[in-house]
Amino acid sequence: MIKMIFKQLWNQRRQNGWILLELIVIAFFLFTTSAEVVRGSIDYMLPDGYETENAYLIKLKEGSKFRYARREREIRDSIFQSNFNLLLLTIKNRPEVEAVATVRDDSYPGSGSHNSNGFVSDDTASIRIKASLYMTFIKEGTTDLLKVYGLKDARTGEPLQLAEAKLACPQGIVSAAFARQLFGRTDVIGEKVHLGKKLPEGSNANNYFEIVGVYEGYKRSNFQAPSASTFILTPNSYGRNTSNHVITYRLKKGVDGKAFRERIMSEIAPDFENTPTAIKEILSFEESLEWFNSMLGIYIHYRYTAVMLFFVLLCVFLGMTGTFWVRCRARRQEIGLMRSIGASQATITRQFMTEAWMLVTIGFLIAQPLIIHYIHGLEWNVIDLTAHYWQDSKTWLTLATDALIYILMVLIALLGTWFPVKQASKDLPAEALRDE
Amino acid sequence: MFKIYLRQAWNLVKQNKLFTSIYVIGTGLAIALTMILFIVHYIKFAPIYPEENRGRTLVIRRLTLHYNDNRGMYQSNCCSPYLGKYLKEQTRAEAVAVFGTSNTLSPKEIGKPGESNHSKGIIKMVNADFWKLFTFRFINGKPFTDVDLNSKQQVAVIQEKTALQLFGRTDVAGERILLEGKEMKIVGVVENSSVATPDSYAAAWIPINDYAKQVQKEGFLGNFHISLQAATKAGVDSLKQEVIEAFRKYDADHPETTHELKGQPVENWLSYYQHDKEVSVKEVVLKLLYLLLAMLFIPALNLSGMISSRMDQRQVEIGVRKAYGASNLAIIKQVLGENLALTVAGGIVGLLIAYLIIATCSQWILSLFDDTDLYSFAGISPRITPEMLFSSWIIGCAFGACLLLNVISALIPTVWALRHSIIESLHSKQ
Repeated sequence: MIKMIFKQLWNQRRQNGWILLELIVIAFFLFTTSAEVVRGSIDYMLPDGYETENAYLIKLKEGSKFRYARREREIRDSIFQSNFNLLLLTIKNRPEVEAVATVRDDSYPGSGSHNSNGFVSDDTASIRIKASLYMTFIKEGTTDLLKVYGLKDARTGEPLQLAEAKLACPQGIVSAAFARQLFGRTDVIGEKVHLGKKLPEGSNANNYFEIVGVYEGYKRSNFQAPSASTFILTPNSYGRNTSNHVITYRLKKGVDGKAFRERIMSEIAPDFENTPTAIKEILSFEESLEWFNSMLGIYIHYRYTAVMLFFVLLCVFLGMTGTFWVRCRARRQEIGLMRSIGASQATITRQFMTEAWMLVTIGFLIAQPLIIHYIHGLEWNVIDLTAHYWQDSKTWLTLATDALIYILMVLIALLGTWFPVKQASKDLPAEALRDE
Repeated sequence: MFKIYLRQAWNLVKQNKLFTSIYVIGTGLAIALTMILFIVHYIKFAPIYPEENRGRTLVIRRLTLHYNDNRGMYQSNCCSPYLGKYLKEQTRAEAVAVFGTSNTLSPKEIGKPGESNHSKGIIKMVNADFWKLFTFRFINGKPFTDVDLNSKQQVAVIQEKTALQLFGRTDVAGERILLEGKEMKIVGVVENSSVATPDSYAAAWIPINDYAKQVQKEGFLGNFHISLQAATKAGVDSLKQEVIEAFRKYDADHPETTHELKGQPVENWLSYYQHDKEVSVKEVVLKLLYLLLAMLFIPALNLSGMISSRMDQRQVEIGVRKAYGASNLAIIKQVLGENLALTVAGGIVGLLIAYLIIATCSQWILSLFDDTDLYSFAGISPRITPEMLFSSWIIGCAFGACLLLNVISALIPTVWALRHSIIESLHSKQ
């Protein structure tokens, strides 16, 4: 049957040529439009590494009256510290709050800022990796970062618990990708990591930390793959700039987040209005990620792809319907003859559907050299900090995108063919042969 | 003759309803998408209130500052307000507008003193030249001036909509208003603008409060965008050179740092495509052509296939016409004319669909080709004005697209159909 259909296609090569040309152009266009979106969607499906539900962050600003007052630097710092600690305790002591953590302004999901650094291990100083550097400040003797973010242990998948660190040694937790890249394994608790380069023994610089936990991963945006990353747990504040400090909190289950946010703004915020730690805004983790994705134009990219996908698939549908409708009209006698010698409606429909499938397949295969040429020339935006997921490979991504667009094109083409063929095969043989 | 073609086309429509429907839908779809592409770009590039001087405007959006002692570099998407002052002194620009950027914008509280009900809207910090470069029409009062800026006056200009929301009237110059908790005096009310013209849009405009501040160690990096207006369109190129020269002079006087301009200042329209790197006009034109080609070429192939099949069915008719002395050119004209009638019908449908989509989905459709979506995130819908939709350029472009679609879809199948001799054509049914 396939051989016969090939012959049919060849005999009608001029009419088929148009639709074939259209299918080649569409396969190429679909690929160029959707490859990055396919990659983003696969990244989106990877676990975030944190729990966004019930998690919020408070951004701070200097109160306007405080901002313009001229004060000595030391006095400003001390006013900042005392106000910050007071605000932190006020939030922490609310009965609705389960946990509170202070982080640097680039260390919460959806932050617009980002910091990356080079790292070396204590033993194998020749290996140097690049990773995202996040920071949480230990305020009032503790940080509840693990509870607020809901980071998971890389080995057990359970909530992460901190191992006991050596006395007076700076601490940090690292992602599984970080551990694998630097040590080749994930059981790295107790290992020492240096920022930038290993300084000589006795050096005063505080540029290292001991690993006290390994978490699964942490995504800056839910549309990006998690990068190799580390959270440094530091007792020191990072600078004295208000905007560098963000308070994050997790609410107890069942607490209405929006109502609590309004309560903070009406009951707590006015007390801090003219201090260096005035509340600028409160966002849920979801809102923060939403803002980040909007800023990066990720949604625009998806919308654009959806519009283009809809447009070209509708073109395929109309093209197939039109071509097969015209062709069925031209081949009415052939259909009548087939019916008169016993071919069922199903047989005729199947033959035409097979023709449509073969056309799509041939067009799709012819488009492949163009697609390969395109993907090779593409400036690949792989974040060098990611743990190199399969979707970052051009070959694998090409295969995945190809599979998707092929399935879509076949489905739409079959749908577009089925309607006119079904109509044509309903004709009675005598009626169809009357023109003969 | 054209009347005959139209009558013939109408008869063919009646005979082949399904063909006509598919043809008109296919054409309508192609024209709708092409027109959406055109209208979205028209709104961004054309002289539209209050950005009527776009044709002679140059913009600086982002700067990189290199420390010459190998201490690295800083990148910023925005500039310092002082750069505006400096360029005003160093160039012959008619106006140098300095204004807050969309990246830092989020709706702020706007209200009346003593009232607890506050609404939210964009508050933008601008300099006095902002009112020269953007052609706002004042309903009441007047813009603030350099004197207000330098003396740090707490004044504001508000939009008509904001005035109506707060006071129920527009003659409110002299009234007091609360902007983000700060009381200010309203000095002017302007006609409403749309977020579709994002550089100028705001619910209220206030003077830049640190305009007098001198340049810091960060060079000209800061939180503002800068637009420069040349006196004439012809003066744009020389103004560009003057700006580059001003930067060169500044860097020569400050050997510790060097500013990287990345091809800036650029014409207003080109700035929409310059995100992280310098983009040439050629690259932008190629990108748009690729899109246009996809939007017109794919449906054109579709239509060509259908017309080709129909021309096979009309071989006898062509043979008869040729036998009675019709030239190939006359037949080509006839087929193109018939198809043009269908294409124009599809074009009208497409244009109406494009208008409908833009009017109903303006919140996201206008940002379809942008790199950021923050206005949409802030929940601000662009107001679409008739000026944006019913321009002679838009109607002309729709007709041009129809004509192009018609020629590329119908010409080749018709020429192919004419290759047969009269005898072959007359016997084609046997």
